[in-house]
Amino acid sequence: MTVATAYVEDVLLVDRCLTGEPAATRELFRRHRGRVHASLYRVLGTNRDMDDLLQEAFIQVFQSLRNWRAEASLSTWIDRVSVRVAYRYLSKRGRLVPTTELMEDDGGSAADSARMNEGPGARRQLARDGVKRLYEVLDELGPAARLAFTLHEIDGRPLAEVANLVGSSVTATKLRVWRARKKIEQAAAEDPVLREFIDPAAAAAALKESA
Amino acid sequence: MKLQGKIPVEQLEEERLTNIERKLVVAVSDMQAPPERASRRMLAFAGMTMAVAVAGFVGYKLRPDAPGPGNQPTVEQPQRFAIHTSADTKSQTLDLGDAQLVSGLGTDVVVERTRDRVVVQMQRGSLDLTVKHDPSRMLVVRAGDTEILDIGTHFVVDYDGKDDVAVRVTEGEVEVKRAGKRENIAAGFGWTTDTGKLALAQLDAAAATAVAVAPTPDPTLGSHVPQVPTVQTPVVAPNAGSATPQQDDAAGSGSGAGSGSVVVRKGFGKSNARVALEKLAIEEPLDVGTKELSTAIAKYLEMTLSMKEGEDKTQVLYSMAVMQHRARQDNAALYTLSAVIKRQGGKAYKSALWLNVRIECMQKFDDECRQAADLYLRKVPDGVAAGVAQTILTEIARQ
Repeated sequence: MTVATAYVEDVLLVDRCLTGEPAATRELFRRHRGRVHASLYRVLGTNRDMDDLLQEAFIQVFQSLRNWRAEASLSTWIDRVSVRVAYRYLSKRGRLVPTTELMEDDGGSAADSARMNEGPGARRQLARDGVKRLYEVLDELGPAARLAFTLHEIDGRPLAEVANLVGSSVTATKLRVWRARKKIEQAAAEDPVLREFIDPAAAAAALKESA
Repeated sequence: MKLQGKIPVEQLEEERLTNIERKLVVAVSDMQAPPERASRRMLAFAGMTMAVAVAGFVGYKLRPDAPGPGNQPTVEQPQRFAIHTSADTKSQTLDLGDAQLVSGLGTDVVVERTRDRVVVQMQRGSLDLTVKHDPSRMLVVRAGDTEILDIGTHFVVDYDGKDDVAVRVTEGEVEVKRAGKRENIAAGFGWTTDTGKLALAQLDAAAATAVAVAPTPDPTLGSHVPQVPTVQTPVVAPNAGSATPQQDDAAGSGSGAGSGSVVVRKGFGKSNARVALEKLAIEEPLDVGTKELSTAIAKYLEMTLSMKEGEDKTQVLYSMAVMQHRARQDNAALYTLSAVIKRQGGKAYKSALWLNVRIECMQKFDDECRQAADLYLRKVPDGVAAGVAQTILTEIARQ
């Protein structure tokens, strides 16, 4: 399917959704649910509220579907709506359980000792711990910085796109990403598991030096 | 710091996704709840009205002086039979003993029979009649303001439900009465509202020409040309037994039943149906100042997006579908048309339905084609295009 064809199909799908056709609602959800879920997951980490968040994101999408003027592709527009849902969730998280507490506790100290061991099982455990430590640090960031960092560094979106999604300037977005990165690097300096996860080469070099 | 791709996303289970989807559909339908509630109120009102009407009818039937087995009226009550065939059902046969009626597709007829008279009141459609001559009983077919009196014959009447009637006599003779004029039509001749009496070959040619030159499927055209019902072909032979629910009620032993011969009327046939399909022009798209297909499609798209909700987008979407069809993007065109058809209204609704038939049936007369033609006939039962759609359905039924 060419970009133009996809674009036309999006326009017509939205048109059908606006006439209240349930099949169109389902089709739109099925087309975009994977991408929206992945973005929410990368921003928020594993989360028991994920079902509700995904549903909320799409309810927001359908509520404001009339406002889509096709100045952006439907995917980008839906991403923008999803980012707003994530932002609201992060803003309210003071009243919620921190994301990292929702993660399964694999036993951090055991993982620390296991990280030097060889074998795929140990590496997987190390990766899981690294993710957990990373999101612990991300929990300390403000919503805007977290969104900017995760969308750019984890979700792999260009800075300009991130700025567009969060409704900010590229410069401000760049600054937020830089600050978040510094914060994570500082945490990694004191946490070998996190350091191993975010920069295995540097971690290996540090290990060699200490040896 | 390279984190992209290092955090695997845990996939949601299908059951959870289905659950979300279900909730979402409910939530979205709730967003449009007011009109739905209004229609429910209307349904409730209609239901109550029906209940009152049924109660009244039952009460009337149960009244003490109601006619029963012991108190038959002295005046002869006519027997009534109804024939109804939709666009996708088989034709029905009504055997009255000395007259046999076979309906075409999309036909509505009420037959009233007394001792000396059979009156066939056509609402629309096509009827093939085989009648044994009986001087003591007259058979009259009424189609709009036209009356066809049987004089012992085999003939076919097509009626568009509005103005146009076409009669084709294959055996014997009939008398056609209209506007105070009478014409006897013998075997080998036909009669139409527009032309009056003419030879059957001319009638066939006129019908074919009408289809070939029709510029648009607009149903209003149907009143200017001999109706395309002349292209109809019975799906089943008389006495095929598909539907004779009134047969048991019919008087007569059946010994005087019509010839029972299978009559295959002249029609376009499969290849001619295809020719008609190709030649029947489609409604032209809106002029956007360019004939270049991709540019025009882009312009229509832009127009669609700039239109406010509530404005009739059907013409723009239809125009886009025409251009997509011309650009050989039939899948895209069908998708666009679905957006028009789902609206069930709008200026270009009928044109979109016809373009849908054209695209679906151009390659072959398959199930998609059948659905498209059937949809067209249900929504636009009259006119030239409806006749072509009916012919297509008949051809598919014969395959």
